[in-house]
Amino acid sequence: MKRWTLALGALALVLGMGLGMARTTKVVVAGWGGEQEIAMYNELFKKFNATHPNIKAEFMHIPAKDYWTKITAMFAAGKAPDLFFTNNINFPALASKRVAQPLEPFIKKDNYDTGIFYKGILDAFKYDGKLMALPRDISNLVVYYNRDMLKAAGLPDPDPNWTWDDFLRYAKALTKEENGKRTQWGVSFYTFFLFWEPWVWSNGGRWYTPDHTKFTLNQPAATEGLQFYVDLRWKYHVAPTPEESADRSAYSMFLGGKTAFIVDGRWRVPSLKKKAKFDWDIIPFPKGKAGSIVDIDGSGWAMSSQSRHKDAAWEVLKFLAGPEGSLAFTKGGLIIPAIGFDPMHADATNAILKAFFQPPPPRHQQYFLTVNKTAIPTETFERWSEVQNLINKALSPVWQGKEDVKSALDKVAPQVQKILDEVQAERKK
Amino acid sequence: MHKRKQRIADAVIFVVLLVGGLTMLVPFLWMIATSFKEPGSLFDLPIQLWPHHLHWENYKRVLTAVPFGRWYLNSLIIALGLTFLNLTSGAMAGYAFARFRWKGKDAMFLLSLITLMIPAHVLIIPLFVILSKIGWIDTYYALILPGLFDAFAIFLMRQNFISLPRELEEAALIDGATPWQIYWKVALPLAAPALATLGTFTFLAGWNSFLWPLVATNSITMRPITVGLAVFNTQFSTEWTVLMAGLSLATIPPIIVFLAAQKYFIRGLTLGSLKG
Repeated sequence: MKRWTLALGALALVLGMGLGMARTTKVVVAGWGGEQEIAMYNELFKKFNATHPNIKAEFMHIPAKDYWTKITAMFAAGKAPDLFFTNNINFPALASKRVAQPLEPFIKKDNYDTGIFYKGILDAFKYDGKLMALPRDISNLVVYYNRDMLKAAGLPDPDPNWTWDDFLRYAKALTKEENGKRTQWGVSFYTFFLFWEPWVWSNGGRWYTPDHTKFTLNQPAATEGLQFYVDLRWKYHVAPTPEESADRSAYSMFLGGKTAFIVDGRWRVPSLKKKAKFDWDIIPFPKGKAGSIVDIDGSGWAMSSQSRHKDAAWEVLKFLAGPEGSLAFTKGGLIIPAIGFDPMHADATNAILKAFFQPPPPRHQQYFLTVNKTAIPTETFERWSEVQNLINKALSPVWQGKEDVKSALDKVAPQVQKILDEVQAERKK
Repeated sequence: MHKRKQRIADAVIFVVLLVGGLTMLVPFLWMIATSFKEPGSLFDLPIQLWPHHLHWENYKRVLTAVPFGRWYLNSLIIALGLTFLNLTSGAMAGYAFARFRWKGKDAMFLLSLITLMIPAHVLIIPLFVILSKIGWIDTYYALILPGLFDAFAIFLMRQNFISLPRELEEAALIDGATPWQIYWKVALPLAAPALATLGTFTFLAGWNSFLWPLVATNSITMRPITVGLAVFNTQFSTEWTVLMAGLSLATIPPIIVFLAAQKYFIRGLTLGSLKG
């Protein structure tokens, strides 16, 4: 009798072990990144796998160039990774193909608090009103300034609540002319959409209505804001013209001490720290009629609708986007973390902030975080890249000073509206 | 008078070739110079044409930070595998199209030529779907076998076999050689210049391929150099000096292949000119 139970017990143990092993599910996470990021993922997953014996998380690196080709092919073959890294710009086109799993059921089940992330970046990862990804990082814009140039012109540091008028006043005072030729300018001039959107938004304008039914970039609120930006170059001459900047990029003119301001992102900090031969700092974007609104774009992980282990994938996703993952990526010094503050994990989030605040300059790096309160994501949607091309083309004579903003955008409006109408029809299907 | 004219013509040709050669050479030298520069100093002004100190750490980094040796081996396996298969299949199919008479030959040839007009990008996804059903993704099979048949190779070899004098093969036939013997012992040796050309093209194409190996591999160790080195080119920055060190090393095999095949090119060209 006794021996019999022992044998049964042993059998149960063996079976249990066998079942236990069989229960280990593999979760594949695809992403791009350099070797530093690959190492971070591998280290994070080592930690994760040690504490989650039933899940084996694995990183699949795909080079950023042609990342989407590979992801598309994998989806077409039904072999998509369980989680995939994405940015919010490419995201809506992807989400419209129903490849991402809405996260609401998991959030509800776990009572997961998404309030730890900045609202703007969460909005950026919503499609059809549903959250489809947890964010890792954000990028936004601030005004970088050359403090030495301000001092030389007898100007104090700008006030963080400064307005467009103040900005223009500073820029005028910082533009210098010698023998009828400008040698120094108030502000560097970018023409890429990321850099002019804040002028539209802060004046109360938008690309379209929130539901993408109507194109509004040619409405007064938008065009007046953008016209102000263009006027910096062609009316007030406080930003260099294409001829004046010759083959120097907007950033190299700031770095070379030719312009006093540049509206730019956090990614400039390492280079400025290393190369700038002047005292520099950052300040929030100046306030227009509607406030100071810059872009908040970024990247994060979405769950594939094809994943066969969604519960396990959710655990990995929470870990990556949560305090531990965020701390690891923030420590790398490349990103602004998407986690603002988590009252439930105060120590952990404080550690992230500590990792983010590296030795100055810039002395006022907190502005990289404070501007997120009012920032909004780029208004992307399913056919964003087509609209972007149309607008780019329409604005090209505007950057050359050959056309005003309103007439250029009015001309292209019917074409954009047609795309919006088609998208609406597509969505109703 | 005639001689002087000749000399002027030679001088003009020389200058044109010199300019052409330099234009080809400068990017190459720039790559090598960059590979020896201090990381981060690339965009310093004034531009440094040649670094003051040779910075070997770029090479050290590319050889140690990533599985460079394995990538190199993968590239060699892919390029050599593709070359071997393409030469074999291209020559055999080309010979069949050139010399044998069979039903539907012209239609088949036309069909194979039509495949040249399909852009490679269109094929990526269906190919991936098929190969992942067979379970070949992330293996050498997936990297090499899709290139087994190539219409360009078949076309090139066919044209070459057609241009060869038939008499030699007919003589062999009278001597009692089988079609295989004629192909292997007579026609193929005569096609050496074409094979060298095709081999060089195929090797280079295989060595340089990027998109398909990227899509067809999942693990870092299965990648060829082209895809592997992309790790130094990221969202935030590109490590140009390290990248160029890797690329400098990566140009060695194509140069060797070209030098080895060069004498056949020249022979092939002169053969043609004599006949013409």
